[in-house]
Amino acid sequence: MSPFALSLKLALWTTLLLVPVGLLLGRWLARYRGALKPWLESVIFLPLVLPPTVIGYYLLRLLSPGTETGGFLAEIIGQPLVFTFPGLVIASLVVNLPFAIQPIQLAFGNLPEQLREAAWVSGLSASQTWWHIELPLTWQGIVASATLVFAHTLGEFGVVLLVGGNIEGSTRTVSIAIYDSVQSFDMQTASHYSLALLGLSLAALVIVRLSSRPRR
Amino acid sequence: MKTKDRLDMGPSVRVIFCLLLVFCLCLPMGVSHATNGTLVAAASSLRMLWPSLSAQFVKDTGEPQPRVSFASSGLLTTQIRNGAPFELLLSADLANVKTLQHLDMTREPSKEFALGKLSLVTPSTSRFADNLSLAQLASEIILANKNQASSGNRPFRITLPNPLHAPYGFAAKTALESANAWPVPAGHMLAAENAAQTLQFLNSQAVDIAIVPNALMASSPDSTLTIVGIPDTAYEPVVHAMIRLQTDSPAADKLFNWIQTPQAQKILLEFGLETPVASKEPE
Repeated sequence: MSPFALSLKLALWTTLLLVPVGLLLGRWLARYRGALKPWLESVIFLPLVLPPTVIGYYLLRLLSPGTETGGFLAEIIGQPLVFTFPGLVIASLVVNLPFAIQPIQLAFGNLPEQLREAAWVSGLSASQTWWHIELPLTWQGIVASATLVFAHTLGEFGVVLLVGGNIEGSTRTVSIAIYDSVQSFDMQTASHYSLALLGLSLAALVIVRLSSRPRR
Repeated sequence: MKTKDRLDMGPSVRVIFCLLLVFCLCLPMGVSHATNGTLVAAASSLRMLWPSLSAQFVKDTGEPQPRVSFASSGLLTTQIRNGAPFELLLSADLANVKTLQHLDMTREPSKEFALGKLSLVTPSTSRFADNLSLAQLASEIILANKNQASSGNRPFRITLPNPLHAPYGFAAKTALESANAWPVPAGHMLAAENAAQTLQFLNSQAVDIAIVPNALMASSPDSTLTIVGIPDTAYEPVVHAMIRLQTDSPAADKLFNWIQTPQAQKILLEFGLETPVASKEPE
């Protein structure tokens, strides 16, 4: 599998798995007013400020088959998680958690509480309120969340290198392939991959900006 | 009011999401290795010669092209210790091979397959080009250590692979020590992550002189560079050794045996890697 296809595969799996989590957590965080909120948000948003190498280091220690947790997981799954594609997916899920949650939390935070109450008074059930009121009004935040997770995963480098290494067909994503090509003085390949990432990232941002425009 | 009116996703967004979903579900989580070549971890000093070596291996044996991951030997060893699924390690360092042997992560025997040497490289337009030598470099470093940079010249910078985890870096450090030019003062040295990165730094003109494995220079004689070998007496040549890792892999066995053949050794020699005098199994 080419680095580009591998990156797309990683980005798609991460988006598919993370957006539902972001939806649940983001919606809950938007409403939660408890004393633990700042602590919870700090933990969730930690990957935004932590260097990717720090996250990669801890994941490597956690998932390496030489450690208790990694050995236990390897025994259950039947193979070590580090330096494999599933390991990369786990790392991407951790790194991208804030990108998945924040836009959704903001979208739900902007929903007036009275709107839900009005829906209930009008006779809508909780699930009907979700489908007919909340989801349509927060859809832009969900699109932004999915797009950001997708684009950020495509460009992820530090964590991928530490947890996945540079294994052709398994863990050599586009960003790793760019680094590898530069090291081999293969500037043409590096240029092609860089241009592709540039285009995809720009497209992702355009989608986010378009989806966040006020509706008429 | 109907749900589809409420959702306001727009047909294009729906189509994009459906296509992405279908594509994603078509891609399995795992990766099939059935048709892939053997997985090799190779020292980055072998990067330039690898295309020739693997092409000849495929031609001679009919095996699939090996998949290779380049990094410094120390980093590769760390990855293997953490579970990286390599089948064969081509290390530029005996110590790393021995470490893995002691951890019982290998299949015996190991084999020394090449001796690597170092060169000094500088752009032909550099002020160092005319008299490039270890002695000249050492005198510059000694002057810099005394805060007496050569008059009228801007401060020079050199690069070598990081001695902490790159065997060629350790050899370069030994060569500089033998000339009483170690440590290199702060601001005058750029430690490369691996051997190949030294050339990258030189090409980007971030440094004036690079200490580079011959194996990276022999492939493409570059008239814009001045290359001078470092005398063998200044350091121990870098012993390259290979060992199969625990995975039972006939393809790795074939590559392991093929690298010891005269055809492979000829390619290694063309790229500046000498055959060990008594090619032997390390203790």
